[in-house]
Amino acid sequence: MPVTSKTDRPRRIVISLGGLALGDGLDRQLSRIREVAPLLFEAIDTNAEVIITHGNGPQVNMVQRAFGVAAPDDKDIPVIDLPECGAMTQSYIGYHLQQAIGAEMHKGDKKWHVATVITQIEVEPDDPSLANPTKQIGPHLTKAQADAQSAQHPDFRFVDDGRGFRRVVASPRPRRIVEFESILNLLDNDFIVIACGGGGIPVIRDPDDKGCYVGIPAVIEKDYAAELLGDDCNADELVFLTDVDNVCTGFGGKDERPLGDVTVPEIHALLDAGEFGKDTMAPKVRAALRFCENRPNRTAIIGSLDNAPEVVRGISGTRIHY
Amino acid sequence: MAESIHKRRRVVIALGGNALGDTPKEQIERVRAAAPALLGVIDEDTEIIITHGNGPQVGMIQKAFAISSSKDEKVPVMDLPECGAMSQGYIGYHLQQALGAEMHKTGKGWHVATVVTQIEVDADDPSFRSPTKPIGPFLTKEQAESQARQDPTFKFVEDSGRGYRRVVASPRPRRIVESDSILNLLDNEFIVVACGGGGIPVVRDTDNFGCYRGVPAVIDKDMAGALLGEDCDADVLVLLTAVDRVAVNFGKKNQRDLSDLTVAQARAYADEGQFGKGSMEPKVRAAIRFCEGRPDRTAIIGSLERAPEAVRGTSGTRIHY
Repeated sequence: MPVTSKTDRPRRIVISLGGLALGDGLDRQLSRIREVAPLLFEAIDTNAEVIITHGNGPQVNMVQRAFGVAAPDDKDIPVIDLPECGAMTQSYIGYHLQQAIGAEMHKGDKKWHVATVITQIEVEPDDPSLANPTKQIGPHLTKAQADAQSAQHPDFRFVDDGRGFRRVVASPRPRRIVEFESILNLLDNDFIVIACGGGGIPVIRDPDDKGCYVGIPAVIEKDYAAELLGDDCNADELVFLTDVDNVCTGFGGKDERPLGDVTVPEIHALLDAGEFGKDTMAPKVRAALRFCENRPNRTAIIGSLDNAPEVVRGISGTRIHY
Repeated sequence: MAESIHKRRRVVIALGGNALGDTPKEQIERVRAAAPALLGVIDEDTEIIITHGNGPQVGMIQKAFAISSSKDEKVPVMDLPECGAMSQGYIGYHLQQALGAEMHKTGKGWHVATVVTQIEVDADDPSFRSPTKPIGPFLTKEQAESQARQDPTFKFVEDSGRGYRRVVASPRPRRIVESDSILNLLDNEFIVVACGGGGIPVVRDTDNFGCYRGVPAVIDKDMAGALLGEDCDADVLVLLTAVDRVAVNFGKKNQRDLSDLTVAQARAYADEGQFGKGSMEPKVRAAIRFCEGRPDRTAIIGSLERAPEAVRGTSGTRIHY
């Protein structure tokens, strides 16, 4: 199998789009992606090889909700669990990204190609989070609704977060990108690749089925999946595009201070001091650190989607490196 | 993109959407069951590209969004191009997993990739003026009228007393937008899943510099399979269905199964109306079109269970010059 990564090549960048990049109003996804596409196009047009990954939080909730609301109403509609809902969002978002980036290339007269890779990611069956799920998904339910779902699906778990009951699933650490060869092959042939959407579809090796993969209802943290993607593709830069211009210390307070250029030890100390939002900025910083630690001449950048071209050129955002 | 130079025999296999079942559980079971037959086609001289229908799956997704968007303001209405895209990921994921499992068990180190595929159609395709492909659930007259008010582009027809159904165009596929992705993976010996459900139909938008835009339409998956075969210079097109062979006088006492047809014979039978309008005839027409593209090609229509035999010539109906 001629799957090899080129040795003499331009710099390779993984760009991770946050959930907001894809629009908050879901029917606006295509129009939002069309707004974002020129920025992505400009960022790509820096003579780099680009891999795009993206979140799918609002989208996977929407698909789950659509099936969840319709299933009791119509016998032809099955309940669709997380792995399949995740697969649907990868192709739904991938289609819009392909079309919107394709449109910018068409206008800019570039003959690049964009491809979406439907991606499964292997996790460990003994990942501690599988025994202790904490990631909340889906709508808030009444106790009666949660009990009814538990009766139907004995493996579902729920927590009461004060506003009602929500289903919780595991958030295991990503171990291996199953479709890694597809991604690498397209990259090596100068494609812009969209992969690992929503953190990938989590699968484990099924001990009852000779170690074949089986999907599990879990959510892989998309920032960790992006880091694994960057590592596996031997990327030089990992860029998180989010809704703030910089990583900040004292975020939201009087002494808020944006970080421009920081070394790995500096930001490591700030992370350990609890400076970053537990579910928002901390996972990105942690993923950025791991990415840099795995090869010393790498840079991770966290910046704003609105400044995407400047972030990729290195004149905006927080740059993390040794 | 370099021109595809391949020595191995290239086979496009088109699976029917009905073969995939109605729920995720059924679907993964059925594709797991089909995986040995699909992989059985591959040998050192043969490589495969897989495409598939999505009729029941896209119907299910559309229906789920239609029902829940009317009851829950957080769920948007989802039109056909996006529902089609979702079905490609949903089916592609299961095919990847099932083929991967079979390869794992048989010690094969091949790779499978699904390509999310748009297919360009002509904006002035005649079928846009007179859409005839019914999609979605049966509606009452009131429901149909209410939907038509909400979106004036929706058209409905009354279906033999069973209610009203939305109809969309079924335009001819012209160009696979992602053909370079497909070719690239194929040339690097991947098993490629592409053009699911006939592809996501797009037209060039004259108001936006000729950029592509999705249109609510359904491309016949067998025609898309023929185009896929043409674009990747395939040698064989295998259209899998529920029956082992194409038949004339189907369902009658004098039914005769056909094992070998010339293109001219196939066309004559199709013109006679020997084949089911919405089922076998599109397959035969797609087979003819595929053969027309290069005279040394063979199209085969057969059953999923006997796919390896069909490719080796001991089952199915072969159509050729």
